[in-house]
Amino acid sequence: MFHSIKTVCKEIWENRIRMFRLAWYDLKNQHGGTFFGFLWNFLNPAFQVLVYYFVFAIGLRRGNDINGVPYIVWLVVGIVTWYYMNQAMLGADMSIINFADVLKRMRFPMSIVPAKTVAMNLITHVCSLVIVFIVFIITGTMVSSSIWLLPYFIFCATFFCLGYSLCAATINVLFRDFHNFMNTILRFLFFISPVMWEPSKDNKLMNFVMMINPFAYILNGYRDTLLYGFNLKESLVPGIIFWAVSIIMFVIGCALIEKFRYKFIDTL
Amino acid sequence: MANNKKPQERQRIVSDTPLPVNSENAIELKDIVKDYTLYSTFGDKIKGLVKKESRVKTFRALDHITFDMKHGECVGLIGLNGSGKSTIASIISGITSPTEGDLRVRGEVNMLCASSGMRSELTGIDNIHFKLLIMGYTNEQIKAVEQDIIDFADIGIHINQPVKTYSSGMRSRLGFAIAVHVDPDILIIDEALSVGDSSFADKCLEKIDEFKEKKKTIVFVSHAVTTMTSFCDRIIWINMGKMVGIGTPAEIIQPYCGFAREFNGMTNEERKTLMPDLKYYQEKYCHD
Repeated sequence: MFHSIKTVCKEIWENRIRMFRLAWYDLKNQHGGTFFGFLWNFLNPAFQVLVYYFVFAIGLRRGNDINGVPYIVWLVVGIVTWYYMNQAMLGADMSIINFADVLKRMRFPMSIVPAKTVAMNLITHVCSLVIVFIVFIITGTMVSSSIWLLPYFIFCATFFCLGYSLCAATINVLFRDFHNFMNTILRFLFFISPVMWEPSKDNKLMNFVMMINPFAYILNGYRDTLLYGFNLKESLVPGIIFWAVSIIMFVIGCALIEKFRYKFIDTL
Repeated sequence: MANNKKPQERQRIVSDTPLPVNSENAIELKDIVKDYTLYSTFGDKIKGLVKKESRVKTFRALDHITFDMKHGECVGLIGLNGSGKSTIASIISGITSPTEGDLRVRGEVNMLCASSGMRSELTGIDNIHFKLLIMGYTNEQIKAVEQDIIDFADIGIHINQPVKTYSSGMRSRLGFAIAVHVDPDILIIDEALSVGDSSFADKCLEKIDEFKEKKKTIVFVSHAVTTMTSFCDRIIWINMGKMVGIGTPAEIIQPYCGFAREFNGMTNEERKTLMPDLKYYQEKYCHD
């Protein structure tokens, strides 16, 4: 088990620059031929923000400030974070299958393939955080003093996606339905995570769900560091649960990719 | 070739039983068997991957293949379609692993592949970068060979256009030009030469000649009999996953061509039970 973790970590670390450069060309390829190109990475979440803002703030008249922060700003932070994880996870499912032409004919470290998808989404995520700060400036929202913790939460989100991507990319080769299945699951998770609504603190069940939901930890973490200020006491238990889930997923992912590394090629 | 990769002595061994250490050989294959699982249901697929020995139906693609290759030797693999030539190539290159048998490879292996690792929305230049990155080049190494590749591919102004606008010939020229800029100890060429027009094909052959002059070990998979006769030191004839024979081009090529002609005239029933005997075909078709 430790051997597989070591191999995967070594592969990813040794190929980190190569991985990001490949991710950059993947991004270019993805947006090739479209007029807005790279901008679509911002336009997509922007439209999502507009839709939810329209439904909640204007349609349902629930767009009150949330703990003293304008709803739109609160929403932007959530959507941008969710969009990153959602895209990274859905892209990773298909990563090995989509890269089959190379894996079948050339020698290429397999664990880099799902990691590359996460890297690609990390690039766009960091760019869209710039947009978030522009929204901050426009609305005159003050950034909290905990902003120095933001890199930690970006790392959390990335590590979670990486662990997931290693598992998902391997499972999806064996079980192609997995991608469609996860598509549905993620849509469900979107609604039980605090992306567009603030969960009430009175409901015990709700508190429990928020505690064990790794997405909630990350979303709350982003909002705390950017808007409210980070409170270690409140996020300690969800943090421990988050890291336990992430590490278990990463370990399983490493083991899976090591086990099937050579057997895969014949089934791809 | 401006490639500052240090020559490295690396061994890849897929077995516990040690073979006699013989540094003259670059590649040693001993009793290599490759079974492919024939999946009929989803359950079979999982069983075949998880269990070591399962009752899933398998197809024996390679049946006890044994041969050695010396450093600097050029060995050709011939055989009909589906005989297992490409499987041997991908086992030597380390892409897939054999089901049974000993494999020893000394040195860095590279499989020359023209078609894969290209992205159609990217421009020619971007594809050069992309594919070289996949092949493990660093930034400096890419910069060093970029112009060489552009010159070799010789596709003019189209190099800045997306590859999706290329004709299939241009596409494979670019792919080949990138793939050929490698500097491995062992080069595997799996039918990668059949690209482009005759002038480009000549250019490719010149490039392979360069590799030969540099004393690279070359595994050559092809159907182009004349090219193989002039390039290879030895030829291995493979049929239905079994080795029919190994020898100089003169010993193998004529009998193989004769066999291939006879095969064309056979009924499907005759083909199934066929296992060519080298001696028989040699006596029939070698008239020296």
